[in-house]
Amino acid sequence: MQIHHKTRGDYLFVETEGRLDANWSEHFTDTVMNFVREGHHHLIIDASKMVFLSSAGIRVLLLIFKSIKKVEGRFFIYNATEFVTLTLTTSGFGDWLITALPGDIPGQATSSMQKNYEHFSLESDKGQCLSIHNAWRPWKQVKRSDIKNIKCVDNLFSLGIGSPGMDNTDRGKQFGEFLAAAGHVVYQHPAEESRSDYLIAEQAFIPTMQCIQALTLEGEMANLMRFSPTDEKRFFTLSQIVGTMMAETQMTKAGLVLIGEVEGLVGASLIKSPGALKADSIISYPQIKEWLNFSGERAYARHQAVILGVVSREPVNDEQLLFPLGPDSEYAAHLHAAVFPHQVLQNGRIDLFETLGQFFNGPSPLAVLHLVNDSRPVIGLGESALVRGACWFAPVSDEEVHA
Amino acid sequence: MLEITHISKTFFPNTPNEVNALRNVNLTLEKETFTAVIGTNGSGKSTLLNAVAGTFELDAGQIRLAGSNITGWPEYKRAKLIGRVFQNPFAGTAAEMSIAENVVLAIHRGQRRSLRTAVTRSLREEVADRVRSLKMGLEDRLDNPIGTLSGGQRQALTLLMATWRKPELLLLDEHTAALDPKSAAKVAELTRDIIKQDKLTALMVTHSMQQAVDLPDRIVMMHKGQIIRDFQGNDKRRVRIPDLLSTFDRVQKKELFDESVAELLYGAYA
Repeated sequence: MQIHHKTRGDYLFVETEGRLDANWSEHFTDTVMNFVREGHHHLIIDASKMVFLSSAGIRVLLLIFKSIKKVEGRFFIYNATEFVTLTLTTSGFGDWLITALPGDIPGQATSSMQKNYEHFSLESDKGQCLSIHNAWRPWKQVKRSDIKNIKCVDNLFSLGIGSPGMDNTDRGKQFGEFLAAAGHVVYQHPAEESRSDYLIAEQAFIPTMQCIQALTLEGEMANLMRFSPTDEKRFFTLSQIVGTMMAETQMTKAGLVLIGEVEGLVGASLIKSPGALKADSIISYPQIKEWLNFSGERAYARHQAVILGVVSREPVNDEQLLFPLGPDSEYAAHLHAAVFPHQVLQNGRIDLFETLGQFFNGPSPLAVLHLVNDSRPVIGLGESALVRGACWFAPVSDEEVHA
Repeated sequence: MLEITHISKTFFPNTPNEVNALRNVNLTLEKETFTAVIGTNGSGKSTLLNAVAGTFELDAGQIRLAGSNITGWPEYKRAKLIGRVFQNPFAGTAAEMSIAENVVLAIHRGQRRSLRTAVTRSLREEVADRVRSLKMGLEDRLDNPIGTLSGGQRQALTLLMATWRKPELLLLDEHTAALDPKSAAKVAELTRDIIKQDKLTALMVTHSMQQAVDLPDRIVMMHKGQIIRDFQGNDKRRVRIPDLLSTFDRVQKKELFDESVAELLYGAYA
């Protein structure tokens, strides 16, 4: 099978030549879903040279159709051969077939997406209130007074080190990285082989985290920045995304929630709970290997991440739990990422709460990472980067620190 | 019951090719349990199996099987207590001899033999019955040379021969690795059935994560001559292939975690 593509306005034309059957269906799916990942959500499959379509072929067409329907995309099969037309019509998929192109398609091929960034001002002009709880510092013994309960309600965004639940019985063993956004909590259990877990606010249930460190933002997001790849720029580092959003809005400190397809994440997570510390300790190398897991590579490419955190143009400040964002970056940040299997992200202006709901009600999260900038000379992995996504953010207008 | 206590083995000591194949390994297998050993190439899993089989002398440690200290026993003496199936389907059988003759040899393994008819009528019927249980149609081909069988058929027969006398311990050394996928699945299924039915104690080295998850009661993971993870009980029941892969991944990441990574993370967890 031969697959060629060209962009015409908002549509991507996918010309298929040959048989779409069991032998070629996986290749076809991979190719077309790559286009969808890049943000092409209006597809026209030119089937004028598709000589055969089997049920395996129909299955993958249906899979692609469902994926782009979720993000309000459009899907047509254009100019199909007699056999393909008959197969689709008799199997109930005749609605996909068109013989004339939609009116809004330009006659000629156009260059694909031209803009890297698109900025939307949202209705809210209020800033966010940032509360920093940094009672615990590595590697001190955790005291009862270090723990703060945070109820993860709808308008709250929080990240840090905490333990889910409300009872005190086992909490000392459970402190791990978490992020909470709009009533959804993803939490990394601090053990070597542990999977990440999640809690979702439902009816009267509100997830509660017992935190020894937390950066908590309350308030609405005032801006949305979309970023998409072009032929010239295939991915965006966090420094680039943050730099663009801060420059465009003249902010000096902001809270953000970012959802995007991962190019590579660099980060760490606790594999042993600080609650296990019997006394204030100095944990040096190699003991540190028993406490922290490092990604060791640019991980989770082609997955989707929900990244939450605080960025600041102010100098790096340990008290505020902010660390350098990238190499030579003028920004400091504290960012946690929850990694999910890939889900298609809708283009344009999208709602944060609806999009978070889609992610948390989809496949389970795979990991939570505290993102770090690996600035080691020569062997450093650099900073995390994304291919495409959406970043909601708002200025921090009020701030309090609880040590 | 098998008890492996503090065993170590270094090959080519004090040479540039020195390999610490086993480093203070401790492992106890309870009676009638089935354990899989997994690990990367060179992790020491086959060396562990060979140490139990008596292929070489240990540098240190002790191995006890069924109440006997077998550490100093030669390989042939251990064969009275241990059944083995190798990776190569052509190992462990005599290619020119018939199926029946090979099986009868296995039946008398470890016993004193004399000059008399090997394949008697009653023994032949018993062999046919057991071979029939393989459901491979081999009971009608008992007089065919075993060398004429396919790898899968031959490995199934080897398994039958190795377990005929219900050994105290069955050692399986990647016994499906050289087979085509269909034969490998069949032999894996037979392995599970025979071990369960005959209530055998078994130790299996495998590269197949799927087999490690599906077949045994316990999974032992080795790396650089040491046991680094032991999945048993509830741990084993919940473990799936991604968990095993993630454990391997974690081991590799831990190796890459050097002082420069530590310095980096001190900054991120200040």
